[in-house]
Order: sequence, then C-alpha cells, then structure tokens
Amino acid sequence: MIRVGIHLALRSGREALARLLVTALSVAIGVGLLLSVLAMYHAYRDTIAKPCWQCTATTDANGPLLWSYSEDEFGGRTIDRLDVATLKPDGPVVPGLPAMPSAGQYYASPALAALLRATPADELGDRFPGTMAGTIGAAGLQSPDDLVVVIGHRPAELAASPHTLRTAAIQTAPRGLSTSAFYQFGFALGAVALLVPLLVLIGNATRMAAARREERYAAIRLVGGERSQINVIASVDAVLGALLGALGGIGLYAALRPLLGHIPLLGFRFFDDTITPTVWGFVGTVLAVPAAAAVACLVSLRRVRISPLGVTRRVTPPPPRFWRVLPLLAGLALFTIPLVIAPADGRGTPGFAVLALVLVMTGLMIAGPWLTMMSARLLARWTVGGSSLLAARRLADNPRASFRAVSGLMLAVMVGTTLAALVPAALASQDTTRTSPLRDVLRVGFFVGDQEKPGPGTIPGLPPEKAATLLAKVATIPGAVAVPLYRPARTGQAELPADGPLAGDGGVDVRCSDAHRLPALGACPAGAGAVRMDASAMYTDNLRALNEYLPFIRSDSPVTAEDGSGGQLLSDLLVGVDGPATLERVRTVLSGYRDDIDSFEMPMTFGEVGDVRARLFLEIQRIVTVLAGVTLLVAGCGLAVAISGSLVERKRPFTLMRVTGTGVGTLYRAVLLETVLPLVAATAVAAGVGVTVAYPIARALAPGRHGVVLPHPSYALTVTGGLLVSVAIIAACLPVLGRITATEKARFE
Amino acid sequence: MSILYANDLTKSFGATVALQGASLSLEPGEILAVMGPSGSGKSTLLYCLAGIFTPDDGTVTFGGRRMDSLSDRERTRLRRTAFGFVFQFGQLVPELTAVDNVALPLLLSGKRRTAAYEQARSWFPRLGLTGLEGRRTGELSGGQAQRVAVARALVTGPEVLFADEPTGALDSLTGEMVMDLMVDTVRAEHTSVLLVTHDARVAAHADRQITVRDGQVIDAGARVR
Amino acid sequence: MNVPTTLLGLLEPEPSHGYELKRSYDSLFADNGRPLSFGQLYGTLNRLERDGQIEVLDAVPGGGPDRKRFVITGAGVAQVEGWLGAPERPEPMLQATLFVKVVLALLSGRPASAYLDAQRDAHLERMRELTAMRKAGPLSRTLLADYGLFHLEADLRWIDLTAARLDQLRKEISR
Ligand SMILES: Nc1ncnc2c1ncn2[C@@H]1O[C@H](COP(=O)(O)OP(=O)(O)OP(=O)(O)O)[C@@H](O)[C@H]1O
Ligand SMILES: [Mg+2]
Repeated sequence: MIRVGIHLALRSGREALARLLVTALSVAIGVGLLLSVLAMYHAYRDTIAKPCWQCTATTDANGPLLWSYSEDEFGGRTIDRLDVATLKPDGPVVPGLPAMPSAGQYYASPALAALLRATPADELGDRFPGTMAGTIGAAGLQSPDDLVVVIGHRPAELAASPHTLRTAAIQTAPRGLSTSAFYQFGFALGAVALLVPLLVLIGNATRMAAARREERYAAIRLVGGERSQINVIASVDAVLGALLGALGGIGLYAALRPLLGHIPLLGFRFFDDTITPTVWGFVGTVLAVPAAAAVACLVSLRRVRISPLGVTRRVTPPPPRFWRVLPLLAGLALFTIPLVIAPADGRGTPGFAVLALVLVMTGLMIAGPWLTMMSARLLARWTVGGSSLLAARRLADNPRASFRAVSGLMLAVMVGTTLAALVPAALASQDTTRTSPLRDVLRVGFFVGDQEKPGPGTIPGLPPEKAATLLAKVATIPGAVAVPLYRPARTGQAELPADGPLAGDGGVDVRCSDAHRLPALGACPAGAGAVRMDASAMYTDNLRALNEYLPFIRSDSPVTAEDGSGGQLLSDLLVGVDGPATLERVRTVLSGYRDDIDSFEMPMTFGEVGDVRARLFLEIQRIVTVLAGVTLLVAGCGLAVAISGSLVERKRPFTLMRVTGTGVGTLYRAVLLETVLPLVAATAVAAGVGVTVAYPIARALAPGRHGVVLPHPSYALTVTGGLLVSVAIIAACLPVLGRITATEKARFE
Repeated sequence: MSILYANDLTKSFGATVALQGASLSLEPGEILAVMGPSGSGKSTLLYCLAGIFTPDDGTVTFGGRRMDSLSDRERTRLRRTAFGFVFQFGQLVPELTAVDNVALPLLLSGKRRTAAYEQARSWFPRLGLTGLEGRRTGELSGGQAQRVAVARALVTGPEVLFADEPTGALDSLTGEMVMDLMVDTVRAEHTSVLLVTHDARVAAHADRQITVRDGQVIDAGARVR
Repeated sequence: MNVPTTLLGLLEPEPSHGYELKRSYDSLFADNGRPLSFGQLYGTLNRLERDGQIEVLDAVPGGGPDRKRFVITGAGVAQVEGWLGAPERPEPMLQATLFVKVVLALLSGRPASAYLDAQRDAHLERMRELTAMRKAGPLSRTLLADYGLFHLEADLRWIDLTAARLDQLRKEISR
C-alpha cells in the first residue's frame, strides 16, 4: 500500500507536484536551519564544557608544578600565558599538550604560532623565552583563534614570583564564563525564537492544502479503499514531502556549514569539528521530521469523517474562548516577576527565564486565535463592503487557520522587538566612545609582592633602579613616550591606600618635563618642576568618564619638590604610543616586568579597552541582526506557504465568485485583510509582550539605570519592518490568487 | 434467487424521513431502474443497498448474507470486490489520469502495478476511450469522464453496479451513448445494475423499473386493482 | 377520446340532466377537442341507457329529452372503472384521453396518481420495447423507434408533472 501511496503521490499531476516541491522546499529551509541551530548548540555545549585549566588556583605545598598564569595583550587580543616549571616528573599536563614544556621551551596555540611567524620578534616573540616545542591541541583551547602560550621554566625562575603558586592539580572543571548568564539567555532566546517559527513553517508546509487532498480520499473510499489504506496513502503523501525536505535540509545545512564556523557566538569562533548536529541529530531529523509529518497528517485525518460520499468535519470546533489568553499572562508574570523582584545580575535565573519565555511564546500561539476572532468581530462591526465582509467571515469561521498563517511572523516580531529593545540597553551600559586624548596611552601600575597579603617583601611600586632600567628600555623604542608617575614619599610601605596606589591621598607626583610629553595631562603651573596630581580617574576603563576628569594637571595643581629623583617608587607608568607596532614593542618590554605589574593582565591602552568592548557588543548586535533576519525569513516563508495553501484550498469558491462577477480586486482586498488583520492584532500584542519581556532583562543588564527602558527607535523600526515584509510577502502571494481563479480555467464538474 | 434484496428499509436524517419501508429485489444479471420524484429517497435507497449507509431498520441481503450486520471493514471490502459505482459526477480523483483512476481499485486490492494497468487499459477501447488514458480527469468531457467512471466501476468485475443518475449531467445524445456502452458492457459481464434515474429514456434501458415515492417503493399495478 | 365512458364518468358523482352533462363536458374537456353537440349527447345517452349503464332517475312531466335526469348504474360504474384502470396503449397523441381520465378520477375521488403510475408503467414498458428495437437496428428502424421514444418521453414528462400537481388540479375542478 505504501508503494501505491508513493505511486499516487507522484502521479497526481503538476499541481500536486508543485505542492510536493513547495512542501519539500519549506521543510528543507526549516530543517537546514534547525540543523544549524543544533550544530551551534552542540559546539556551544562542547566549548563551555571544556576544562578551564587557566583557572587553576588550588595550591599544594608538595605539588609537582610551579604555576604562574597571566594574560598578555596583542593588538587588542588577549594571550593566555602560562609560565610553568616542573618540580617532579609525572605531574599533570595541561590539556592539548603532549607533555609540560621543559625549561627553555614553549608550546603555542596554532593561532599564536601563526601570529609569531607574522610579527617581528621585538613586538611579540621576545615576550616568550625559549623555543617553540610545538602547538597546543584543541583539547586545551576553546577556539581555533585562541592565543595561548605555555612556557617552560627552571623552578628557580618562577619560585620567587609572587604570582606563582605551587599546585598538584590542574583544574578540569569548565569555566563559569563571566558573561555566560547573558550568553546562555541570549542563546536560548535565539534558539527558541528561531525554533518556533521553524516548526510553524514545517507544520504549515506539510499540511499545505490538506483539505484539497482530502477530496480524493472520498473517491478512494468509494471504490473500496479502507480507512487504513487512506491513512497509509495520506501519510505517504505527507512523509514524502517531509522526507525530501529533510534530505534537502541536510543539503542546505552542508551548504551553510562553512558559514557557521565564522559565527563568533561567544565572542569567538568554535572549533570546526565541534559544530555538528551529531549523527543523532541527522538521524533524528531524517526520522523525526517525516514521522512528525505523518503523525500530524493522521491527527488531521482523525478529525474528519471520510465517507465514500465526501469529507465532513467530525465536530465544528467551538470558537476560541478567553482562557486562551491566560497562558500568555501566566508566562509574562512568571517571566517578569522574579526579575523585577530580584533584579540581581540576571544570573541564576536563566533556566527559569527561558522556561517562562517558552511559556510566553506558546501563550502567544494559544492566544492568537482568540485575538484573531476578536479582531474579526471588530472588523465586522466597524466596516462595510464586500471584501471586509468576506474577510470577517473567513476569520470568524476559522480563526485558527487564519492565525496559523501569521503565527510564525508574529513570534519573529516579538523576538525582534525583545532583542531590539535589549541590545541598545546592553550597549548603553558600556561606553564605546573611541576618541580621547588618552586613546593611545596605556597605563601600567607597579606593585612588587603580594597585594593581598602585604608583608616585608611588598613594595607599592617599582624600586628606583628597576624603574631606571625600564625607562631606559622604553626610551629606546621609537615612537613611545613614557611619563613616569611617582609615589609620594610619605606614603610608604606601611600605609597602603585602600583603593590602589593612584587613589592615595594627594595623588602621584609627575615631572613637568615628562608630563608635557602627554599634553592631555595638562600644563604645569609656570616654573614648576614637578606637580602632584590626582589621577585616580585613570582607574576607570571607561573612556568617557576618563575624559571628564582631564586635564589632571591644572594651574592650581600643587607644586612639589618630589620629582622622583629621591628614591621614590615608580607607581605608574603612562606610555603613549604612535602605532600598533610601537605598542606591542612596549608591551614586549613590559612583559619582562610581569612580576612587578600590579595586575596579572598586561595593560591595554585606554582606546583598546573601549574597542574590545565595542567589538564584543557589535558582534552581539550582528548576531542578533542575523538571527532576527533569519527568523523573519523563516516566518515569512511560513506565511507565504500558509497563504498559498489557503488560496489553493479555496480555489473553487474563489473561482465561482469571480465567475459570478466578483472583481478580482475585491478578492485581493479580502485576502489581504484576512491575513493582515490577525497579523497586526497579533503583532501589536507581540510587540507589547516584547517590551514587557525586554524590560526586566534590560534592567538586569544595566542595573545602574533606573526606570523604564525607553524603546529605541530601532524597536519601532523592527516592528514596522516586520509588518512591511509580511505585507510584501502577502502581496507577492496574491498573483497566485489571480492565476488560480482565472475564469477561463474554471471547471465545475 | 435474487442477488440483492432489501426488505422494509427505513432511514432518517434527523427529522427528515428519507426511507420508510422500502423493499426491492434485484435478480442476477438484471438491470433495475429506480425512478421517482426528486427527494423521494432514491439515492438513499441506493446508498443503503450498497452499504454506504446503514439503514435504521430493515434488512439488506447480498448473496445470501445480511449486509446491515457487516462491519464497516467488511462493507468496504464488498465495495472493493463486489460492487461498482457510477455517480452523476465527482467520483473520479481529480488529480489522477483516466487510467490511474481505472487502475485505482485494482491497486487498492493489492494487484501488481503492471497487471493492474494492463487490465485498466484494456477497458478503454471497450468504452470508446482509446487515446484518453493519459488525460487528467479535469481534461475530459463530461461524457468521457462518465465512461471512465463506468470503466472504473467495472474493472474489478463486480456483481452489482450501482449507478445514480449516471447521465444526469450529460445531454441526451451523450447520455444515450454512455447508457448504450454501459448496458452493452454489463450485459456482456452479466453484472446486475441498480440504475437510479429520473430520465425515462435512461430507465428504458433497464429490464424492469420500480418507482420510489415518499421513501417507499410503490407497486403501481397493485394499487389500481 | 372515449365520449360514452367520459359521460359515464361525469355522471358518476351525482345524477344529472343532459344539458348539465354537456356543460361539464364542455368546460372540462372542450379545449382538447370539439364541444359536444346535442345530437351526439343525446345519441350517446340513449345508447348508454339501452346498454343498461345509465337509467332515468326521474323526469319532469311534459316530455322532451331535457326533462330527464340520468343516474349511473352498477354496470356503468364497472365500465368507468375498467376504462380508468386500463392503461392506454402508449401511442402518440394520448394527452386528451389521459387528461380526461385524470379529471374523472379526481371527480369521483379515485386514486388518480395510481392511474398515472399504471400509465407510466405501460409507457415505460413500451419504451423498453422501443429501446430494444432501436438497438437491434437497422438505422431506419432505430430512427422510427427514436421517434416513438421521444413522444413517449414527452407523455411521461406530462404524466410526472401532472402527478406532482394532482392536488392543485383537484381543487381547481371541484370549484
Ligand atoms: N445526508 C443527508 N442529511 C440530511 N438529509 C438528507 C441527506 N441525504 C438525503 N437527505 C434527505 O433525504 C431525502 C431523500 O434524499 P435522496 O437524496 O435519497 O433523494 P433522491 O430521490 O435521490 O432525490 P434526487 O432525485 O433529487 O437525487 C431528501 O429529503 C433529502 O433532503
Ligand atoms: Mg439522488
């Protein structure tokens, strides 16, 4: 019987074949994107599950390893740097390495190795003592772009450093990504946002023109086809399209696959081999999509009674009732309340929030028919005329089908508005102003010894001899200007200022002859040799805030006799650079002083800090745009499929109306109305829901900002854009109506 | 010995009484015309006899077996193997070609495809349809479509052909032709026919004729005497 | 057109004078043929009286044919019934006779539809014969048979239409 089903499906003429192809194509788009989402999700899960060996912090006085982890910078990218010495053999090994490097050797990640080859040694290579012994395997990296170096030392070289810890165990637990709550949330939002319209698309595609197909089942029953045979024939019809689509979807996925590798979902690319929906994903898709199509088909057949004389609905479904709005409201409450009550930091609740979000989306889907019916009633009450009468009739008769057509798009709009409201909020919390006189200046602070446990060895700055060598080294770099800032002698080792060296009472001392090299710092009062300035603003890495404090040196700045010559400690060094190469040379020099720098992170220029942030958020924004676009596309396809399906299904009554003198314009308007109306109604609600959903998230993201996040202009833009796109899609479908109802093709037998 | 026998059938649709005590018998090889005014219950009677409707009351006996007690599945099987149907219109699957439609009952019975199509094709010359095998139903004239329906109804070699206004949508000349071909074919196949029509010229092709009025089969002669 | 039996049928419901019979006859059936002449009327009545199918109920003294009132006898009723019950031979141009039969049946409260059904059966029987004949050929005979078939079909349509309107007709003639 399956063979008969296939045979019948394939022999049913051009219209049926076109239907099959449209179904297959839509399913293919859906499945292709679905597989992509699955693949990205797999890569994401794989990546965040990788052990964070960098996070190793457990100490063991008898451990086999001396471990000193720091972060270097190059061209705005961070280099994970591990300096390590082996005390005993058979200790643990960093993942991705064949063995711990012996002294004088280092392992670099492939990306870093490539960078090393392409960069002069004095800009990068000189930071890493020894020779490269090999590259780090994927097991030790999160991304192929990771810049990582593991440098082997003799124990003596590391033992003295305060950053060094002795350990027995390398951390195998994954990193709690600092931004993971946000990312996870965004990821889940995106996935759900894409998934639901995808499912709507696939669903619409497989049940396309089901009613027209049902007509033939009566004929089959008449010649003695059994119910089970009808079921098989119908399922084969549905499965055929779904299966073709699933296979096409795998093809589409294969085509998309290379692009996926470039999506910096977490701010970096995933390893290629982790981006896969896995074999189970493929098998599941090929099995589940057709199976779902068959089930959907059987379910829809259960709802009708196919007698040899025709097809009748078993029961006319009752009109949608008000309760349909309740899940939506419940979802909103569930989503909003915890975030408003405890706006913490958006952390901890993502699982809950995603659940609520799913409820909100499902709620929208459930509420849709009711909204459609209500808008139909309004239409009937407020308008007159043939087309609005036709549209209102159709909407009231079958609010579910009418809504189903626009449901995907409505979800897309909701997600779009959520994201559009969210991203500006997230961006606003970060200043990305790129211009500042201190843009190309880096500040490096010095501190010898352990800041947390001040002891005899701790010095809040660089001792004079060391400082002199450093300054001399920097002075040899062409294009680099150094401004040393000295710690006033009064603040000795004993009384450390609580919020860091620069925030000390009265600030730091700077020679006017040095200061004028960075004019932004300000001009000394006339005749002064050195001044004391409050430069604590330099601790903020927010450029706009920093600008507000400039200049640090004013005409009323206190003149001081302490000009660094009297054995004062070098508290901070400001280095202005004239280009990236100079900057990296400076950092290469500084990397020799890693133990004395007050942070385990290599300093960045003020401009770089802003750039990194801006880049991150730009990337997020780009992903969001792509996501919204894809969702809109999918939803648009779903809409197109649904409309064409419903037009084909009503071919006969439409043709009859045209034959009896109804203008094709009236039909166009009716179809336009019956689709746009639920769309607008649903979109209005969806947009409202979008704001409601975005508000708590925005608050969680930008806790400092109070009050309602005003909808960004892009918000309105997204909504209108979505609507325009859908109207365009609907309009694009209308010629189909004209064609299929052409009176010269009318045939009433 | 009659092949199909109905006794005292009643059937109502809600308040509408379509049949009230209708009886008839159909002899093997006989063509029986069922006439009567519109709405008198002719079609309902035919559907009851063919096992498409279950009568509310009364019995239908086919080949010595009570039809009204058969399950839906068994009645479906009967439709496939023992009955053929020709209706006024609309009984062909619109998207399929003529030969597909004729082969459909054979395929549903599990016949192999090549054999089914061969057998289906063999009917086309008999009904003057040569060359129309590949046409879709929508591309056939009314008379051609009816002849395809006749071929489809007879291809399984049924014992009874149920025809409800088979020429109702045709002009008289075409109707005459369809009837001639149909009658010739059923005579050759020894198929019994229950022919519902209100057209006397169609009914004149039958061996015998009964009249249904108000849901009853009336015997005109008996009432006059 | 069977004038004697028609007169018998008109006489059946109630006794009538000759001139009353003529008036009924003319108003009901004259459209189909010619009005009844007095000569034909009284000739027929005399023949019926002679055959024992009617008899004189009473007569106003003074003589003359118009003075007699006639009543139907048992033999007369049997004659009417036999005629009504026997379907006419299905031949072209029957409508006048069929119409008379329907009207007489209605006037006498007999089941007119049953007569029509019987007539339909007779027609169909003949149509079957003709159908068989036209199938047998040759074409000349087929055409002849077709001629007959079309006429019979026209009659049948009339029969069906009349059967559907018997109630209306009953009301009209009993006015
Ligand atoms: N499915 C149905 N539901 C309700 N009433 C029905 C149904 N089918 C038939 N009837 C009613 O039953 C009665 C008999 O209908 P039926 O179709 O048997 O008449 P018919 O003799 O075939 O008429 P026609 O010559 O017009 O086809 C009619 O009054 C009709 O309205
Ligand atoms: Mg009917």
